[in-house]
Amino acid sequence: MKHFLTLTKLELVNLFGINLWRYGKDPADKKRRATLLAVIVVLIAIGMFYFGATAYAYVLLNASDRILMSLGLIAVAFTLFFNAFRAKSSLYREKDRELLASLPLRSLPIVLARLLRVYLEGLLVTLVILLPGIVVYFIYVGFSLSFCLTALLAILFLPVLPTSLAAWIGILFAAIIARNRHKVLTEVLLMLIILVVTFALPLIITGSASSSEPTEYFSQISPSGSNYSGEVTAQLSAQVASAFESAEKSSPLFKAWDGLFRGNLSDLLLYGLASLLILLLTALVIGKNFFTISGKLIQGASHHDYQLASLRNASLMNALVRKEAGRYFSSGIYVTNTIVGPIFAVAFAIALGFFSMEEILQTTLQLPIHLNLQAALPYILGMFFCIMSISTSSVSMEGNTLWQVKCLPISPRDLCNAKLLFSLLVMGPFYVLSEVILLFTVRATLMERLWLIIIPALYLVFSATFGLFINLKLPKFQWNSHAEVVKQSAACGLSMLAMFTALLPIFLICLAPAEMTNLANLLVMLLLGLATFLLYSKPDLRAITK
Amino acid sequence: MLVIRDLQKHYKGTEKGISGVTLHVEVGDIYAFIGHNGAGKTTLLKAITGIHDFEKGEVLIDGIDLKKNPLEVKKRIAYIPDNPDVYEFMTGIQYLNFIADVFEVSAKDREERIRKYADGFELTDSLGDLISAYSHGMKQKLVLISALIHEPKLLIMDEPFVGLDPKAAFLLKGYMAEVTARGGAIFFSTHVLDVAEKLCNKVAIVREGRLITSGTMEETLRGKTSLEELFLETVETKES
Repeated sequence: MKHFLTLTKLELVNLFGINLWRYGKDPADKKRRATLLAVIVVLIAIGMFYFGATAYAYVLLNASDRILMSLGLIAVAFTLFFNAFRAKSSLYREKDRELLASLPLRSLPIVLARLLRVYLEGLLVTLVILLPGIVVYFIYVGFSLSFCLTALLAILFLPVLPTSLAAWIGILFAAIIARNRHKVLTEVLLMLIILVVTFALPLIITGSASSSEPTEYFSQISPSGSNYSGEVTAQLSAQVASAFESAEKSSPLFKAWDGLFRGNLSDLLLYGLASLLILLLTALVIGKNFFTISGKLIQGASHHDYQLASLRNASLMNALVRKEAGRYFSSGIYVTNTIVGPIFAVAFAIALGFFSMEEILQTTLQLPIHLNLQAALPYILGMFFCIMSISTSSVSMEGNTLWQVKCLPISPRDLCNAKLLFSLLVMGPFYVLSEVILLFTVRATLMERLWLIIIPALYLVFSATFGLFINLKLPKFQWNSHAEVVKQSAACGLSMLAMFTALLPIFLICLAPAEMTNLANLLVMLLLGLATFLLYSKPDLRAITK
Repeated sequence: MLVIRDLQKHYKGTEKGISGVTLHVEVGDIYAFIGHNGAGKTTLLKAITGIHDFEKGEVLIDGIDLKKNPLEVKKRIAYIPDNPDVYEFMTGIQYLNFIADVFEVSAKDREERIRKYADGFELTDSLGDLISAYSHGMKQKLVLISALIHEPKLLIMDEPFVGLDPKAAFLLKGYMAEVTARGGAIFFSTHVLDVAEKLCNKVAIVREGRLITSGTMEETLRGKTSLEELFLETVETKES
């Protein structure tokens, strides 16, 4: 127990960077942390606003008693999604393995402390999702003690089960990766499977439920219709109620889940205790082979049979790009995080051959208004290349090897160019492939085709340039795992926020009259081109020179 | 070869750093730089290699100003850090090839030199393995080879003997002598005072970021039995 508390304290200090806030003296580092905090606060605020609005929609549709159940389901799905990605690196962290293995510690307290950390991260996600719903309920329905207690228990218990499930995924991943020689490739493939499953499931589920006609559902609340009346509300309420009823009938699991929030508190308490038991069981299983598996994960193969053959020289840029490639393909989480967008771009291009864009977007994004989607196509394709650029983490990834590039005769500009070039070289084939597929799957006029080629290409270059620019401004060289750079750095957060802003033209173009499309596209092209040029020509190189 | 004039470097938000350091390393010198932990040795080495920027002073290497022309300076030097944090995602040979490409070493020269140094350090067999699988000593040897393959004029090393086995340490001393013999110079920090006394012709002692003494080994040791005695005496005198 004593060890568990000590290790838990260690995990929490790591999780929130409390020590860095208290004792860190470097002003640049403080600035970076403040930026990261600001980005997190903004993202939380956006998330809370979104889920508050969702809860309000339930109130409007006379389904306020379903708020907790629905948001609870979303919270569980989100927690599972986020934790599953990080479970392997969170549980089997490499950095302090040798230190912990050398100490007189049993593996169970180590695992429990790490699981607690994963749980707390899930709790934060749950709070962001459930809290606005609870507030909306109190405001519009009224305060009730039973709802208050149910909500409190739900917040505390809901992240437990996804934490356990994510841990099992982590164990499975770790076991498979540990046995495999090509560890990074295996990790990337496994993560891509999770992604595909996560995104395909809602498509399948909502697709099967499309008999409730979501397009029609949303067209009624479109601003152009301006018929948002009591009659429509009543109609929608009936549709929602019927959708819930049919879901309850068709899925016993859904019924049980719904019942959990409708029944008495003892059911929820029972669910919580069962979840805790599963978590404990998970900890016991991980603890049993903890050091064996984590040891195998870091094992590198040594052959000691190299024979020096003739060597070839290469240009500086070639050498630097190969260095970037080596680093990129050595990190599963780096590859997965940045390759998702381009893969989606290709998948989207293929999907357009089978479904209309309206069908795809209404099913996946549930857009509430009618848009000129044909004009938006170049932007939607461009958006996929902006999700997370490779260059957004490439400077931070230098980490403790930064001394190397600083003392070698490499100009900072060459280093940046190599990072940019590599980013474009990885994204380029996906872009070309998407464009080739679109030749067959989309009918377009010559002008539309031209925009379909130019706009995504511009977004691709802009995204890479902006990513590098922001990473040079906010580098993070002190990190324990690649996840800290690729997922939790200020540069990544800010880059995502900025990309949302850069993609605003999607909405303007969609809402603009069709005859204005070419002019609007031209304007966006000029603006993007100018922004990219400015970002490229005025990078802040201090991070790699000072 | 190396001229440091009134160098000042402080870390933001702390008192740590170096102040008013002036030092000359001539061609053929093997110059030891000694001091207690946290005295500022690594800070100075990182400042003269361009890793850290400095607020005041001047660093000239082979007559070229580091601030004005950093790339030309870096082409003439090699730096070996105290902790060999290198690209673990590369194999040993990929890393050496990368460094050789950066310094534009011809294929023939790099092959010859890698063969010479890797065979010497008994690392050739492991050059095909990922660096992440290397031990600390193997990484240290790899960094040493990477520093030597472009025949630098000035070799700057931070605790180069740490982690090396006795044979490798012996070989390194030989390679250091080769660098000076072909008109180069060596400036390195160390805590191994015996080695410094036997190997170096010049020494500098730093304490709390300031240079206490510097000069030829003979002059500096005058009246003392060993460098160890001088070092302890100097540090204690200043403390009292």
